[in-house]
Amino acid sequence: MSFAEATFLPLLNFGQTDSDKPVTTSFDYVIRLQSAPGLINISGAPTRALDAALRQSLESWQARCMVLGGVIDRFKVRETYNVHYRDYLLGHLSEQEFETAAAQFAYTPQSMDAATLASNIGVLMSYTTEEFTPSDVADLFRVTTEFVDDTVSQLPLALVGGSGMQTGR
Amino acid sequence: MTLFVSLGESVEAIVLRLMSRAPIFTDTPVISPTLGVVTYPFRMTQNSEAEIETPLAPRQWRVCQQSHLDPGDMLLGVRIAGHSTKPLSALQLIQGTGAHKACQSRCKDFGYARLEIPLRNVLNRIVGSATNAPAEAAPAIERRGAARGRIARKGK
Repeated sequence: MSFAEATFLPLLNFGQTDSDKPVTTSFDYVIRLQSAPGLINISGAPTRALDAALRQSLESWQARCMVLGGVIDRFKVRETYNVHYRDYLLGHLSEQEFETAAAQFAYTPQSMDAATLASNIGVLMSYTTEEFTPSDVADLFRVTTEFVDDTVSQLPLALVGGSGMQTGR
Repeated sequence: MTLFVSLGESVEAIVLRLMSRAPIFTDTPVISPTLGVVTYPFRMTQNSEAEIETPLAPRQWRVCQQSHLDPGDMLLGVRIAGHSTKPLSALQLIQGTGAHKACQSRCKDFGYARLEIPLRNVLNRIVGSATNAPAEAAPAIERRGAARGRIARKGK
Protein backbone atom coordinates (compact mmCIF):
# COMPACT_ATOMS: atom_id res chain seq x y z
CA MET A 1 0.00 0.00 0.00
CA SER A 2 1.33 3.41 -0.91
CA PHE A 3 1.57 6.34 1.47
CA ALA A 4 -1.25 8.01 -0.33
CA GLU A 5 -3.51 4.96 -0.01
CA ALA A 6 -2.63 4.67 3.65
CA THR A 7 -3.09 8.36 4.35
CA PHE A 8 -6.08 9.46 2.33
CA LEU A 9 -9.52 8.25 3.29
CA PRO A 10 -12.09 7.82 0.55
CA LEU A 11 -14.61 10.63 0.73
CA LEU A 12 -16.68 10.09 -2.36
CA ASN A 13 -16.99 7.29 -4.87
CA PHE A 14 -18.72 7.86 -8.14
CA GLY A 15 -19.95 4.91 -10.14
CA GLN A 16 -19.54 1.23 -9.36
CA THR A 17 -16.96 -1.43 -10.15
CA ASP A 18 -17.10 -5.17 -10.13
CA SER A 19 -15.35 -6.02 -6.85
CA ASP A 20 -13.92 -9.28 -8.30
CA LYS A 21 -11.98 -7.48 -11.00
CA PRO A 22 -8.87 -5.44 -10.31
CA VAL A 23 -9.36 -1.73 -10.81
CA THR A 24 -6.99 0.04 -13.16
CA THR A 25 -7.00 3.74 -12.50
CA SER A 26 -6.25 6.01 -15.39
CA PHE A 27 -6.33 9.19 -13.35
CA ASP A 28 -4.66 9.15 -9.93
CA TYR A 29 -3.81 12.57 -8.54
CA VAL A 30 -3.52 14.07 -5.10
CA ILE A 31 -5.41 17.32 -5.18
CA ARG A 32 -4.43 20.28 -3.04
CA LEU A 33 -6.89 23.02 -2.18
CA GLN A 34 -5.67 26.39 -1.00
CA SER A 35 -7.91 29.22 -0.06
CA ALA A 36 -7.19 32.89 0.29
CA PRO A 37 -9.54 35.89 0.53
CA GLY A 38 -11.37 35.92 -2.77
CA LEU A 39 -9.38 33.06 -4.18
CA ILE A 40 -9.42 29.27 -4.22
CA ASN A 41 -6.43 27.56 -5.72
CA ILE A 42 -6.62 23.91 -6.79
CA SER A 43 -3.43 22.09 -7.69
CA GLY A 44 -2.50 18.45 -8.03
CA ALA A 45 0.36 16.03 -8.23
CA PRO A 46 0.43 12.49 -9.57
CA THR A 47 -0.02 10.17 -6.61
CA ARG A 48 2.72 7.87 -7.86
CA ALA A 49 5.25 10.74 -8.00
CA LEU A 50 4.27 12.02 -4.57
CA ASP A 51 4.47 8.51 -3.18
CA ALA A 52 7.95 8.00 -4.64
CA ALA A 53 9.15 11.28 -3.18
CA LEU A 54 7.84 10.39 0.26
CA ARG A 55 9.41 6.95 0.11
CA GLN A 56 12.76 8.40 -0.95
CA SER A 57 12.64 10.87 1.90
CA LEU A 58 11.80 8.17 4.40
CA GLU A 59 14.58 5.89 3.16
CA SER A 60 17.04 8.76 3.40
CA TRP A 61 16.09 9.40 7.02
CA GLN A 62 16.24 5.71 7.81
CA ALA A 63 19.76 5.54 6.38
CA ARG A 64 20.83 8.51 8.49
CA CYS A 65 19.32 6.95 11.60
CA MET A 66 21.20 3.73 10.84
CA VAL A 67 24.48 5.64 10.65
CA LEU A 68 23.87 7.50 13.89
CA GLY A 69 22.66 4.31 15.57
CA GLY A 70 25.87 2.56 14.55
CA VAL A 71 27.89 5.41 16.02
CA ILE A 72 25.99 5.19 19.30
CA ASP A 73 26.70 1.46 19.37
CA ARG A 74 30.41 2.11 18.85
CA PHE A 75 30.48 4.62 21.70
CA LYS A 76 28.82 2.09 23.96
CA VAL A 77 31.42 -0.53 23.04
CA ARG A 78 34.21 2.00 23.65
CA GLU A 79 32.75 2.82 27.03
CA THR A 80 32.65 -0.84 28.02
CA TYR A 81 36.20 -1.36 26.79
CA ASN A 82 37.42 1.65 28.74
CA VAL A 83 36.02 0.16 31.94
CA HIS A 84 38.48 -2.72 31.45
CA TYR A 85 41.24 -0.28 30.60
CA ARG A 86 40.52 1.71 33.73
CA ASP A 87 40.73 -1.45 35.80
CA TYR A 88 44.08 -2.21 34.17
CA LEU A 89 45.40 1.28 34.94
CA LEU A 90 44.24 1.01 38.53
CA GLY A 91 46.06 -2.29 38.87
CA HIS A 92 42.93 -4.38 39.25
CA LEU A 93 43.85 -6.34 36.12
CA SER A 94 47.28 -7.61 35.13
CA GLU A 95 48.52 -6.82 31.63
CA GLN A 96 47.84 -10.41 30.61
CA GLU A 97 44.31 -10.30 31.99
CA PHE A 98 43.67 -6.98 30.30
CA GLU A 99 44.93 -8.24 26.95
CA THR A 100 42.60 -11.24 27.25
CA ALA A 101 39.66 -8.95 28.04
CA ALA A 102 40.62 -6.51 25.29
CA ALA A 103 40.79 -9.28 22.69
CA GLN A 104 37.00 -9.57 22.92
CA PHE A 105 36.71 -6.02 21.60
CA ALA A 106 39.30 -6.34 18.82
CA TYR A 107 38.01 -6.03 15.28
CA THR A 108 39.42 -6.20 11.79
CA PRO A 109 38.77 -3.01 9.80
CA GLN A 110 36.04 -3.67 7.28
CA SER A 111 36.04 -2.80 3.64
CA MET A 112 33.49 -0.20 2.73
CA ASP A 113 32.50 1.61 -0.41
CA ALA A 114 34.19 5.02 -0.44
CA ALA A 115 30.92 6.74 -1.37
CA THR A 116 29.18 5.12 1.61
CA LEU A 117 31.93 6.24 3.96
CA ALA A 118 31.79 9.79 2.59
CA SER A 119 28.03 9.83 3.05
CA ASN A 120 28.39 8.51 6.62
CA ILE A 121 30.95 11.20 7.42
CA GLY A 122 28.56 13.80 6.04
CA VAL A 123 25.78 12.53 8.34
CA LEU A 124 28.12 12.49 11.33
CA MET A 125 29.28 16.03 10.70
CA SER A 126 25.74 17.27 10.08
CA TYR A 127 24.22 16.03 13.31
CA THR A 128 27.06 16.37 15.80
CA THR A 129 29.26 19.20 16.97
CA GLU A 130 32.21 17.07 18.11
CA GLU A 131 35.64 17.53 16.58
CA PHE A 132 36.23 14.10 15.07
CA THR A 133 39.66 13.36 13.64
CA PRO A 134 40.29 10.85 10.83
CA SER A 135 41.32 8.20 13.38
CA ASP A 136 38.12 8.86 15.34
CA VAL A 137 36.01 8.40 12.26
CA ALA A 138 37.96 5.31 11.29
CA ASP A 139 37.16 3.73 14.64
CA LEU A 140 33.49 4.74 14.56
CA PHE A 141 32.96 3.17 11.13
CA ARG A 142 35.50 0.36 11.67
CA VAL A 143 37.69 1.21 8.70
CA THR A 144 41.37 2.14 8.46
CA THR A 145 42.55 5.69 8.98
CA GLU A 146 44.27 5.63 5.61
CA PHE A 147 40.96 4.81 3.97
CA VAL A 148 39.33 7.81 5.67
CA ASP A 149 42.14 10.06 4.43
CA ASP A 150 41.88 8.75 0.90
CA THR A 151 38.09 9.01 0.86
CA VAL A 152 37.95 12.60 2.04
CA SER A 153 40.80 13.58 -0.27
CA GLN A 154 39.46 12.09 -3.44
CA LEU A 155 35.70 12.11 -3.44
CA PRO A 156 33.67 14.89 -5.00
CA LEU A 157 31.92 17.37 -2.81
CA ALA A 158 28.44 16.04 -3.50
CA LEU A 159 29.20 12.77 -1.75
CA VAL A 160 30.10 14.34 1.58
CA GLY A 161 26.88 16.26 1.87
CA GLY A 162 27.15 19.10 -0.61
CA SER A 163 26.70 22.74 0.20
CA GLY A 164 23.73 21.99 2.44
CA MET A 165 25.90 20.22 5.00
CA GLN A 166 26.05 21.89 8.40
CA THR A 167 29.72 21.95 9.23
CA GLY A 168 30.02 24.57 11.90
CA ARG A 169 29.07 24.75 15.51
CA MET B 1 66.47 15.64 18.18
CA THR B 2 64.10 16.85 15.51
CA LEU B 3 60.69 18.34 16.09
CA PHE B 4 57.88 17.76 13.61
CA VAL B 5 54.74 19.86 13.61
CA SER B 6 53.16 19.39 10.16
CA LEU B 7 49.87 17.58 9.66
CA GLY B 8 50.34 13.94 8.78
CA GLU B 9 53.88 13.60 10.10
CA SER B 10 54.38 10.33 11.95
CA VAL B 11 56.90 8.52 14.11
CA GLU B 12 57.45 4.83 14.80
CA ALA B 13 59.56 3.34 17.57
CA ILE B 14 60.00 0.50 19.98
CA VAL B 15 59.39 2.82 22.91
CA LEU B 16 57.41 5.98 22.28
CA ARG B 17 56.88 8.54 25.03
CA LEU B 18 53.44 10.15 24.90
CA MET B 19 52.47 13.31 26.70
CA SER B 20 49.28 15.35 26.62
CA ARG B 21 47.71 18.02 28.76
CA ALA B 22 44.35 16.28 28.53
CA PRO B 23 43.95 12.60 29.45
CA ILE B 24 45.07 10.09 26.85
CA PHE B 25 42.03 8.44 25.28
CA THR B 26 41.94 4.85 24.15
CA ASP B 27 39.75 3.09 21.59
CA THR B 28 38.93 -0.57 21.22
CA PRO B 29 41.77 -2.74 19.88
CA VAL B 30 42.14 -3.20 16.15
CA ILE B 31 43.63 -6.17 14.33
CA SER B 32 45.97 -4.19 12.13
CA PRO B 33 45.95 -5.25 8.47
CA THR B 34 49.46 -3.82 8.15
CA LEU B 35 51.07 -5.40 11.20
CA GLY B 36 48.84 -8.46 11.45
CA VAL B 37 48.58 -8.19 15.25
CA VAL B 38 46.22 -6.63 17.75
CA THR B 39 46.97 -2.95 18.20
CA TYR B 40 45.79 -0.60 20.93
CA PRO B 41 44.76 2.80 19.51
CA PHE B 42 45.22 5.98 21.53
CA ARG B 43 44.35 9.64 21.02
CA MET B 44 45.71 12.79 22.59
CA THR B 45 43.73 15.97 22.18
CA GLN B 46 45.55 18.87 23.79
CA ASN B 47 49.17 20.05 23.70
CA SER B 48 50.38 16.62 22.71
CA GLU B 49 53.84 15.18 22.21
CA ALA B 50 55.12 11.82 20.94
CA GLU B 51 58.85 11.26 21.22
CA ILE B 52 61.00 8.33 20.15
CA GLU B 53 62.91 6.95 23.12
CA THR B 54 64.02 3.58 21.78
CA PRO B 55 64.19 3.45 17.96
CA LEU B 56 63.28 0.48 15.84
CA ALA B 57 66.06 -2.00 15.17
CA PRO B 58 66.65 -2.36 12.33
CA ARG B 59 65.62 1.21 11.45
CA GLN B 60 62.81 0.09 9.12
CA TRP B 61 59.27 1.51 8.99
CA ARG B 62 56.37 -0.85 9.70
CA VAL B 63 53.21 1.27 9.24
CA CYS B 64 54.09 4.30 7.14
CA GLN B 65 56.95 4.68 4.74
CA GLN B 66 57.40 8.37 5.60
CA SER B 67 57.52 7.85 9.38
CA HIS B 68 60.45 9.37 11.25
CA LEU B 69 62.52 6.75 13.02
CA ASP B 70 65.53 8.46 14.61
CA PRO B 71 66.01 8.60 18.36
CA GLY B 72 64.71 11.86 19.78
CA ASP B 73 62.42 12.59 16.83
CA MET B 74 59.28 14.14 18.26
CA LEU B 75 55.79 15.09 17.10
CA LEU B 76 54.35 18.21 18.65
CA GLY B 77 50.77 19.31 18.06
CA VAL B 78 47.27 19.66 19.42
CA ARG B 79 46.06 16.25 18.34
CA ILE B 80 48.11 13.13 17.97
CA ALA B 81 46.69 9.65 17.35
CA GLY B 82 48.31 6.30 16.92
CA HIS B 83 48.53 2.80 18.24
CA SER B 84 50.80 0.43 20.09
CA THR B 85 51.09 -3.33 20.04
CA LYS B 86 50.94 -3.51 23.83
CA PRO B 87 48.58 -1.65 26.16
CA LEU B 88 49.92 1.75 27.17
CA SER B 89 51.81 1.80 30.42
CA ALA B 90 50.20 3.38 33.46
CA LEU B 91 49.54 7.09 33.10
CA GLN B 92 51.77 9.42 35.08
CA LEU B 93 50.82 12.94 36.10
CA ILE B 94 53.81 15.15 35.46
CA GLN B 95 54.59 18.85 35.38
CA GLY B 96 53.72 20.27 31.96
CA THR B 97 54.31 23.82 30.86
CA GLY B 98 54.07 26.47 33.56
CA ALA B 99 51.47 25.63 36.17
CA HIS B 100 49.84 22.99 33.98
CA LYS B 101 50.00 19.30 34.68
CA ALA B 102 50.23 16.75 31.89
CA CYS B 103 49.60 13.04 31.39
CA GLN B 104 52.49 10.88 30.29
CA SER B 105 52.62 7.29 29.15
CA ARG B 106 54.75 5.05 26.99
CA CYS B 107 54.12 2.69 24.10
CA LYS B 108 56.01 -0.50 24.76
CA ASP B 109 57.03 -3.08 22.19
CA PHE B 110 56.02 -0.92 19.21
CA GLY B 111 54.33 2.42 18.84
CA TYR B 112 53.12 4.54 15.95
CA ALA B 113 51.83 8.10 16.22
CA ARG B 114 50.84 10.80 13.77
CA LEU B 115 49.67 14.40 13.86
CA GLU B 116 46.02 15.00 13.04
CA ILE B 117 43.47 17.79 12.76
CA PRO B 118 39.71 17.62 13.18
CA LEU B 119 37.99 16.32 10.07
CA ARG B 120 35.46 19.13 10.31
CA ASN B 121 38.22 21.62 9.51
CA VAL B 122 39.02 19.67 6.36
CA LEU B 123 35.35 19.51 5.37
CA ASN B 124 34.88 23.21 6.01
CA ARG B 125 37.71 23.82 3.60
CA ILE B 126 35.92 21.65 1.06
CA VAL B 127 32.64 23.52 1.49
CA GLY B 128 34.46 26.85 1.51
CA SER B 129 36.29 26.05 -1.67
CA ALA B 130 33.02 24.94 -3.29
CA THR B 131 31.30 28.21 -2.48
CA ASN B 132 34.22 30.26 -3.75
CA ALA B 133 35.03 28.22 -6.83
CA PRO B 134 33.08 25.86 -9.07
CA ALA B 135 35.58 23.04 -8.58
CA GLU B 136 33.80 19.87 -7.50
CA ALA B 137 36.78 17.87 -6.36
CA ALA B 138 37.74 18.01 -2.68
CA PRO B 139 41.17 19.45 -1.93
CA ALA B 140 43.57 16.73 -0.94
CA ILE B 141 44.32 16.25 2.72
CA GLU B 142 47.96 16.96 3.33
CA ARG B 143 49.38 13.50 3.50
CA ARG B 144 52.30 12.13 5.38
CA GLY B 145 55.59 13.46 4.22
CA ALA B 146 53.94 16.15 2.14
CA ALA B 147 55.02 19.76 2.45
CA ARG B 148 58.47 18.86 3.63
CA GLY B 149 59.45 22.49 3.46
CA ARG B 150 57.10 23.25 6.33
CA ILE B 151 58.63 20.81 8.75
CA ALA B 152 60.05 22.77 11.62
CA ARG B 153 63.43 21.38 12.54
CA LYS B 154 64.80 22.54 15.83
CA GLY B 155 67.87 21.20 17.52
CA LYS B 156 67.60 20.76 21.22
